[in-house]
Amino acid sequence: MAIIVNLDVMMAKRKIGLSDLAGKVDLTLANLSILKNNKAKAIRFSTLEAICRALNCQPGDILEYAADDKQ
Amino acid sequence: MEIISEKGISGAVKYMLDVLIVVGAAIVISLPFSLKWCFEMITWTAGENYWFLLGFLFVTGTFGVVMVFELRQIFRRINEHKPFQRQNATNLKRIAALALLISAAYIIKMIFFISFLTIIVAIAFLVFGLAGLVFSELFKQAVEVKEENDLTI
Repeated sequence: MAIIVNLDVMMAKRKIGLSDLAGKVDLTLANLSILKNNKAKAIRFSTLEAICRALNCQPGDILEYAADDKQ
Repeated sequence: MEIISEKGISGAVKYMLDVLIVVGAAIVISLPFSLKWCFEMITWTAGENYWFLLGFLFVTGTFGVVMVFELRQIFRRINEHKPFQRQNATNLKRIAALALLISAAYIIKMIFFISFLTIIVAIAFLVFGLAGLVFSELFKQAVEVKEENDLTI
């Protein structure tokens, strides 16, 4: 997918673990892992909002567009 | 041929049901006359040929048992609260195919031994089979939607 989730980078900057973040944004650890490992197909605005609030960042800090080789 | 489209199987089933409603209602209303006409015009054969019936019931019976087995698989998954799986769509498609085979067998039987029940079973299984085919496709679409939803965080 051409959209890359850079959640791990932002989490490292804020020095927060996966389970701590999961608790803060009210997501299951499994779902947060899917998101972190770039396996998610979509992200809800409400989830994005909660993550941005928890990490005190902008959506652009978490999501990145990279041109796909296939296109 | 597309399964779910106005010009595909689902469209054909819809037209078939339209015709069935009209024909069915007409037959039910005209029963007092049409039944008499049937008895006068058609020679009804009860189908007492042992070997033919034995082979026929053996084949359709086997199809029927496999159908029930497939249906049981679906219900097992439903009871496990995991209804939307690709496997269920496949099972449903197999049930539809078996229903169409049974219908075909009964249509062949109509040539040799005709009876009211044979006609009713043939039509019922034909409609059931085609509808099953459409529902299996619908189920497949539901599975895709569910997968998409599951991966939406």
